[in-house]
Amino acid sequence: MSENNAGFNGVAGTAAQKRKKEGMWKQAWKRLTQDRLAMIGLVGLILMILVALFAPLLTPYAPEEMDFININAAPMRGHPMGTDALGRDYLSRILYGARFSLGLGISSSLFSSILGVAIGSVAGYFGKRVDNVIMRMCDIFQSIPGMMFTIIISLLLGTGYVVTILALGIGHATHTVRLTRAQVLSVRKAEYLDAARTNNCGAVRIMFRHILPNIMSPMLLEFTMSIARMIQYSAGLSIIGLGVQPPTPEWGAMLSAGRNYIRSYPHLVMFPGVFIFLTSFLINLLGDGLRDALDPKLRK
Amino acid sequence: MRRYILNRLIWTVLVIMGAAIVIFAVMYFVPGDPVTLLMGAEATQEDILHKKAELGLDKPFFVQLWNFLVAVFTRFDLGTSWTRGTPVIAGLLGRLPRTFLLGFLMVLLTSLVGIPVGVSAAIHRGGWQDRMLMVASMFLISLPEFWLALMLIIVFSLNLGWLPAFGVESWLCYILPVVSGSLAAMAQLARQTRASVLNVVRADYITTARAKGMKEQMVIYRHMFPNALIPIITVVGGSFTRCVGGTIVIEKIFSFPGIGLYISDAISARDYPVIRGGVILIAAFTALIMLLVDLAYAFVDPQIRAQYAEFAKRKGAAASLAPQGRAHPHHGAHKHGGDGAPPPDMDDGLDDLDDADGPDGPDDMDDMDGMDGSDGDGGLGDSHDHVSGRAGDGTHEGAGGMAEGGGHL
Repeated sequence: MSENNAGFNGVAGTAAQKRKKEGMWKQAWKRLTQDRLAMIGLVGLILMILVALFAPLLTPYAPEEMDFININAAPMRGHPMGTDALGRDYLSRILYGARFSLGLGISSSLFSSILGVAIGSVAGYFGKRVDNVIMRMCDIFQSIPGMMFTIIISLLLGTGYVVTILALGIGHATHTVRLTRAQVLSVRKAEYLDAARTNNCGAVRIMFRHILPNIMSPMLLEFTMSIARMIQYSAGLSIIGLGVQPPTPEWGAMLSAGRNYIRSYPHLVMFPGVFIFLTSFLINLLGDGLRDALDPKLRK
Repeated sequence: MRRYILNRLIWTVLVIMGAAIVIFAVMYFVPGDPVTLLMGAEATQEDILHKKAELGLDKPFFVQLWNFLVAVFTRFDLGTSWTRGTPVIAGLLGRLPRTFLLGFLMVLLTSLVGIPVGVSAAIHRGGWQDRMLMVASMFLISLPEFWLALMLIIVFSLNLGWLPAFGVESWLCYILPVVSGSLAAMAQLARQTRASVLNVVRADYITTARAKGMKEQMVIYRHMFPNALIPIITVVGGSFTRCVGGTIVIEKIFSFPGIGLYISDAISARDYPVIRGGVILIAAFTALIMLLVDLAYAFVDPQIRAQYAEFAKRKGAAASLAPQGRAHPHHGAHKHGGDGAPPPDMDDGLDDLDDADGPDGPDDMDDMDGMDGSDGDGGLGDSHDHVSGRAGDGTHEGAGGMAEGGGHL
């Protein structure tokens, strides 16, 4: 692609060409590394993921291991975050919880993105009647607030970890559908798509090879930001008795279980919440930086 | 204009019906036999069959669906609660005023703080107010609402004893729910306001207006204000949907006897008619808010009005050119969370995060189309004399024939 362009641009675009060769993602990455807050977010998240991966090495206890002498203990020596109602070490559960919570956030966002991008690009690409039908369906689904829709689907699918991922993904896909469609519409008339069509490219190939890479950055942004939201929604689901349920050491489930002891043992509510907050904060910092980094208006 | 309103109105009714069908269908397939659940383990097979016939649950799916729709849309009958034995609609309407007040107070607090703070940050761009807002808002947006609620309970109710942790006996009971439900939305609105004011201040048409010697005040009121308002309407409108049942988790935590708690109790008891009825009421309310937001757009943005008037005029003449119909404004208008979330927010208490990047995102996205290969139509989003902050699809029609089929309704 860039080679072809080089021929056309000729002398006028030498400076622009140099930029082009560097690649959009590389440029964005460069800008991102200059954003201090975004880097804090990124490093923090990487640390969080490492904690999740190496939880067994970091934790002094297994997440199910009960200590019957110390039940509902406040933070103390041996249990830096105290223990829960069954005497399980809270720190261990929180660290293992990173696996479940991050996993849930990432996979439900991924599922929702895949669903949304697939439907949205079909709507945007084929346009006309297909588009109309899909968008009218979206109107209907969007009149049911995402959380309510997730609740209904959770009722349908039941409680549990995988099921919650599905419910969250389906419940929040309409947003991505609209976003994708708008993006596809914005590139649909581009010349490079005409070129691809002239080369006898099929619809599927055009969508995956030509459209998708060009609308990737807003999708990436949306995906990143939605991880934080999904973790929070899932905690909300746990609170109303759906979603992930104990004994899974997922932060939302832990928080909702700890709610019964809020009077006497506030630490049971505090710690999972702090970690949900911290994760969301890091993701939002990164996302905010990404938004700026991916903005072509700022390209120098 | 009247036609536009009429069209949108009809579509709103259809959306509500569609939502009712979707909800009924999904709930129909929820596993578990409600009658067995209802009658307890001791009920004989005969009793169960009898009860099923009584509730009309023995009929085929489509018959049940039809009966349900007829009951809902002709008699406003949402069924009878299985656990309470009272009509669902009465239960919902009885709780509506409290939830509505709660939601209204949240929107009020959110707007009263969020908009001025956002404007002041935009005016002092790069100054300490601005930087403080950006960091503080990021912090608040990331705060999980339900957790904030619990922390506030721990501090103000359990430790200090200043405010009640539950109930609705006095106005004091509203403070904690309103504050915990508003902070994130407030931060979100402030960011959105800042972004949209900055977007407008830098726009070419403002320079043009000044260049042609317009008085500064006129520039502000005629050009800046209406354009900056559109994305703000989106966010405020989105948060209005929370006035009805958007706060299910907050209500649950504060045992606030509104619609949210009614539904969440029904969820624990598997009281399907209540869940179904509650969600339909919320969907109807959301659809109405969407309608109002769209009309507000049309009111604020002369371009949308003009667009529609033009469309109506051309409609007869251009019947053969149907696919060239102008983009329907209301596509641009549905920029909200629901889910947007959340919306945000939109949706549930948690859901305003749904909008976290929503209304703000697309204006960047609009410009994204210039990304890589497509430099040809790059930046068409902001070459217009209007805010590109709405969903990209509505704003493209002016450039490069991005119209999306003449479909209305």
